[in-house]
Amino acid sequence: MFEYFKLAWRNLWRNRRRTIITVTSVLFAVFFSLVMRAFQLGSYENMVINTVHSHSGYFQIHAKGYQDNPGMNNAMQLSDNDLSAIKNIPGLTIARRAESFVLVSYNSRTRGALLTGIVPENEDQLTGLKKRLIQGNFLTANDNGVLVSSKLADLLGIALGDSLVVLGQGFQGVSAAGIFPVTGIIKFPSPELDKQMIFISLPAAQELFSLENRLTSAAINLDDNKLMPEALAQCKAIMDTSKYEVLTWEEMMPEIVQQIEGDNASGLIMLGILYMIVAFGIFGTVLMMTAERRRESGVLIALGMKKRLLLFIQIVEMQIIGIIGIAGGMLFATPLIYYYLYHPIRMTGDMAKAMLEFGFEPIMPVYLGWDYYLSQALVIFSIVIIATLIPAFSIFKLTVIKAIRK
Amino acid sequence: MKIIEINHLTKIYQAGDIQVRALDNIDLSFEQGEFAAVVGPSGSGKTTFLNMLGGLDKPDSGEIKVDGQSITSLKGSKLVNYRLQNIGFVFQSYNLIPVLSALENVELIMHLQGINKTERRKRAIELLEAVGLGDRLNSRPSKLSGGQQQRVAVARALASKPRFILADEPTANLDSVSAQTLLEIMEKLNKEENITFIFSTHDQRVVNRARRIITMEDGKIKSDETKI
Repeated sequence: MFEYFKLAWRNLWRNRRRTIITVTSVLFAVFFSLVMRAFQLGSYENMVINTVHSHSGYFQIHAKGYQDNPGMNNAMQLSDNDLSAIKNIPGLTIARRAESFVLVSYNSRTRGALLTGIVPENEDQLTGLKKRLIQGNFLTANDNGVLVSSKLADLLGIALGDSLVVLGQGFQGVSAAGIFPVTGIIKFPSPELDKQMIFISLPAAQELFSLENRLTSAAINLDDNKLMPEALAQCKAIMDTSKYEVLTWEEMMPEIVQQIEGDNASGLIMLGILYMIVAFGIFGTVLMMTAERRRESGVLIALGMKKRLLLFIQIVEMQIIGIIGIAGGMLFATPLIYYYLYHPIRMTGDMAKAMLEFGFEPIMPVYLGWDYYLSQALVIFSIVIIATLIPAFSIFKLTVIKAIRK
Repeated sequence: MKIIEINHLTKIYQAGDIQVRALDNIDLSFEQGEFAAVVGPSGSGKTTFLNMLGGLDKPDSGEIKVDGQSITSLKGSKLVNYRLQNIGFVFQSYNLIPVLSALENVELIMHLQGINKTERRKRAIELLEAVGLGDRLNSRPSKLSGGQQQRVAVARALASKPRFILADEPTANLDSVSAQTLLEIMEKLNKEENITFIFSTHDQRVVNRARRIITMEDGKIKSDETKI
């Protein structure tokens, strides 16, 4: 077998320039596709992390029907048994919430706001809320104060120590009214969020809305997004799905999934075009090689070499080109991807502003994973095989006498 | 001992509307150890005849038997295997594999036969020494003269220990000295090793050395003379 590999290797270097050009084309295709994919997948991963950590968590538990009809009347009771079972899932933390739209007033000014009753420590783990505090103190577990977003505070003209009046509708239609001292001002990068968010402690919210120990949602955070499938399955097994719904962030925010899928599709089309160019390059090389060596192929068959062995040698030749190209592409791409993994590109200008408004860090991160390396390698190998097989049919159709006389 | 028997061999080519009888009802046989030349003008059918013997082409009718076994019915890998085990080819334009050295070109056939590396290397060196190329074992064809390349081709043809060697115009591209050397080597191998050589040729030098001369014309055997 080694002899055939040797023959294939030497055949490759008959036309050194052509082989180098073909290898280079594969190398560049692999290089560009890996770098492009690293940025693309990195941006999706970042988008998911931003989404998950901005509010939703990896998944949420609600009373059945809450997603379609959110409101106090669809609040749920989470039993101690269920709660402790969920907390025991490895790598998982739970952020319990009671949230509703309310009217908030200070002096003669009134605004609409989204009030969220939180367990401060858990909420901070999930969303990093404490980092957004710009004045005052963060909430404690049984705090009676309120955190007000900075724009809303401006609109109301309220400051630290002032009392905020809250008016809304509680569980089963009871009116919900309360007064909360402002203990902190928080700032959201998104102006939309910044003019409508207020936070109180969960016990205070449950009292305000007459929820007793009910919640509107429980958002689940994970130490690592790879834990998601296992944690989700365990959570679904714990919860009685006739009473509760366990929804992933994809189910709660399908528009983000669609955005990722749309962008991914356009990226794949780009990759497809790149692959097509490489495929035609390899196809051309194989065609030339086959035509050039037609007479020699005829001689080898006349001497006693089987056609399938000739084909094998040709496939080996092209796979060597593929392997060198793929290895070279990976060799050049990996240090670059590594660099951007630790030094992501920082956006500037309007794009950065737009990202900040959504609460996202304005960076272009990369993703480094064996999965897309493997898929690139497999795609290139498949292209090489297909591009080799088509002209290789000419070997099977080869008439020895015609080939020798050529 | 007869090694090749040819009965009523006919091959017809279609050239436009005209049928050309390249071989017309040929009956011949060859004995072990013959040194035979098939001669005749261009288009007389000698190359077609050699192609038939080599299993490179199929007759329209008739039969070729080698050691009593019909080869005209062989197909695909059986036919390839038949060629590998029974026939040595020497072509007009040498047809060595350019990326292999002289030694590797000779070894390749034995490699295809599944002979182990030590044995094939030993035999390849012996054969190349026998054709006077013991000092050019590692030279690639491009570094060898036409005569030397053809001698490598003869060594390659002998490598598989074939029943007979078919040489199609082996001296056509050689100068007189190289042709003379090549013919001497082949004649020596024929006499000493009792290897059967069948030539197709225009070359009078080959004809002069051949002990049997088969003359073809219009696809038929015009004469078949054995020198005494």
